Amino acid sequence: MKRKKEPSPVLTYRGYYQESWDLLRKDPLAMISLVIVALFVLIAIFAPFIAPYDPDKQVLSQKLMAPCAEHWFGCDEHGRDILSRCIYGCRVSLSVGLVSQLIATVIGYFMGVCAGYFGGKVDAAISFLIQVFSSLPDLLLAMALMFALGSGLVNLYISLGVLAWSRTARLIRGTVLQLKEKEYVKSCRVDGGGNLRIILRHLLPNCIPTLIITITMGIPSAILSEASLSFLGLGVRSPMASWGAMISASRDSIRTSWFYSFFPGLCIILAVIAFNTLGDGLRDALDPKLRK
Amino acid sequence: MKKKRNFFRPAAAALALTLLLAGCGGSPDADGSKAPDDANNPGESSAVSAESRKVFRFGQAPYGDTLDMQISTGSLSASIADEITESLLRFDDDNNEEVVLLTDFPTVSEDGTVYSFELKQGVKFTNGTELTSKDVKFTFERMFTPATGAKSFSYFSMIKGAKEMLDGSATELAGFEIQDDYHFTITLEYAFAPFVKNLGTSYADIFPMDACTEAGDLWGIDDNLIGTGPYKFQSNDPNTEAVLVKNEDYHGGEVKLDEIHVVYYSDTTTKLLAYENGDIDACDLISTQLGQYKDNYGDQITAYHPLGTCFFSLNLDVAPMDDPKVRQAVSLAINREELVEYVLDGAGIPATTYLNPSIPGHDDSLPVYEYNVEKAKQLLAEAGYPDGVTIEGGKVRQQEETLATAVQGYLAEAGINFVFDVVDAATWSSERTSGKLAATFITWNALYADADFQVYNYFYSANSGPQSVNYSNPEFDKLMDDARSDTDEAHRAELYKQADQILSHEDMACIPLYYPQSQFLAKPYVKDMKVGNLIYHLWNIDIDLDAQAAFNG
Repeated sequence: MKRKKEPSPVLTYRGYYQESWDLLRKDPLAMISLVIVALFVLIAIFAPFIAPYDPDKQVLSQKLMAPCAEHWFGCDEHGRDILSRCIYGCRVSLSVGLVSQLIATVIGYFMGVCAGYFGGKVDAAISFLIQVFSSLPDLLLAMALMFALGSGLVNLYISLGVLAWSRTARLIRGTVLQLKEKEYVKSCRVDGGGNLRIILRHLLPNCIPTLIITITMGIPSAILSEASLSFLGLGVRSPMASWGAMISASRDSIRTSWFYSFFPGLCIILAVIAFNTLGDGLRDALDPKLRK
Repeated sequence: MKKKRNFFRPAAAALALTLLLAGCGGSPDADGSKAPDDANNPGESSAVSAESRKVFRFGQAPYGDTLDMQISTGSLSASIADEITESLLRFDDDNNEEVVLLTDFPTVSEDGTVYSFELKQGVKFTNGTELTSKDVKFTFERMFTPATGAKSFSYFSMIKGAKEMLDGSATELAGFEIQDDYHFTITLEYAFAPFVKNLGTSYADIFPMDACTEAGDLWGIDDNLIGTGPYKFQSNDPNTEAVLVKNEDYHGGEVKLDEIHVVYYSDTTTKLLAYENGDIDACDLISTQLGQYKDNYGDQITAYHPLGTCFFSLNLDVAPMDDPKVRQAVSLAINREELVEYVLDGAGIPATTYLNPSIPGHDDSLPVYEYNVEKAKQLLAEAGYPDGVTIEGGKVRQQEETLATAVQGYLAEAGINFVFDVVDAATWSSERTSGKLAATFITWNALYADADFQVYNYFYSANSGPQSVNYSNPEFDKLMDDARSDTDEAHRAELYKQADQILSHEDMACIPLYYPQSQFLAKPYVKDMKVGNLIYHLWNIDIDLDAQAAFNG
């Protein structure tokens, strides 16, 4: 393994990520996904400039208007522009995906590192918690949390974040169990390095590939959970647009107005596939064991 | 290859989820092609027997636990129970009260507290026993006996002695006196003008003493129900179907149908598909699906107007709704005509006042509430909110979500930010009863065409707390009190008209939106099907066998 031979860890990381990026670039599917993801991110950021209409502007006389030149995706049951709502819904979905995963990562990393690094009773306690959380059905737990917290975007972040930490923690624990036996960790300890220094300076950088992959793979499931929760009426608050909430509202008119459920559905599918494929590509690129 | 690429798995999962989400509410097929390929339709295969038997098949949602109308309060129970058990009087489908088990309307004493009744002679329950005064007395005493667990007692608790029975200090109803088998009197604690109307509801269905006592707790469960009505049970499985057959000895003359099948569908879409397939002859059609059925089944849809009003219910204890100017502004911001046309697909009448148009006391001279956004903004500015205002803490049930969103859209135009959550019915109702719910939507239906039910029960100061309205106006309360004890119907109506003016125009204590319309689907061979208020009464319905044969081709 060449990482051991490098004298300075900083230099190694630069080389490692550079190499990973080269690998990723050669993966056409991952690159397409990356472009789609980037597109979604841009749409989310610049939603107010891109959206042709105010997404909440109600014009009842345009109720369920079919797609036309003025309204490319048609109008919903309150005469609101579906394209604008899809664009704003992108904000909700991406932010829910990202923020909830960040919450999950912070909790998960901390728990995983403590379990893996300290071992013993700490490990037993945290592993038990991980077991408990991963044995609960995701959607039921999310629903219970949303019931307790009430609907709204911030509560969605929290409940989906709390939901996802156990997977990150489990992976990090495994990684740390391997890492803490490495020479550079041992030598740091010999050198008088404290636990905090080891955890933050030596373990964290080496866990980053794992974290990138879990975040990328976690985003699509958070997007789907958000859609499911919004579909069940436990997601965002009216009039905020969300893809899941739009599909939920389209049920009554699904037999007459195909476009209402189609476009938000398409957005969900595209976003989920893009993130998943990108996650796959990243895993291949970042995992040194898969390199020839 | 070492690489494993799960490209299709997430794709398939996402696709499946989207289809699942979108498909939950409605089945994607059945574009309304009407060709009835009914292998199981009796019209074709067994033409001979079908010709002699009139069978009406009605689809409705399962009624729940019981058909004992002292315990159940649901209209789904009532639509079945009312074919079997009858009350002393009843409401026809034009909402007029008529006598059923009595020779005439009861006479009332000068002070309005003593009612005298005369029963029809020779009325038999379907188990063969004759109806006498003791059955009526038994029925009311059963209702007030705490062990029964009745919910209907509140409509009759003004009977003298009812309170004592309810708190367990008496076992006999003091206000009920039997003169002989066919004559009895009921004495009230205080004059209560709508008493005879309460007697006409399903909650006062008369039960046979012997059979009901014998059935005990099982009364009203499955097919344990016996009455004087036009039909009796052949079988009833609360999950699948009830079969009712003609009561040959019915005291009200020849019964039109041989059989009624009430088929239970817990899912609306399934029920409508069954109608399209010809498995049932009639069923209700909820407003949200009216649009889909209008085109293909327009001539089979009948609309009716229940005695209710849908309104935006505001909590007058909570800022900013405690300011009448804000409430006026809310009202002015809503375009009721557009709301009815687009959100309800025309299934409603834009409101002009709180009282429903079919209820005496409704002021026919009023126009639809004004829609004027500029005026609304001006009123808000006068109330001290020139930059708009937020109404927080709204909670609505799922069935009102579309309406709430539309109102939210209107209010936003006037600078009112209405924030609401969609909650389950249990949360909604507990919060509402606590008196703390800030704002919600509700359709308040009267049991019969009388303003007491629609106004007093919701807005009288002592009652408006548990409705989360907290309205209190002594002038309004005085009118309510006077109207309750006034037995002159014309004068009562005048009092309610004044009260309604104060309630929904001067004080704007609620924001009436529309008078709802409901509708049902019925095949062209179903005759005389009509609904007056909330309950589907099947006793007038007939089947035109020739038309049925022709329809089934």
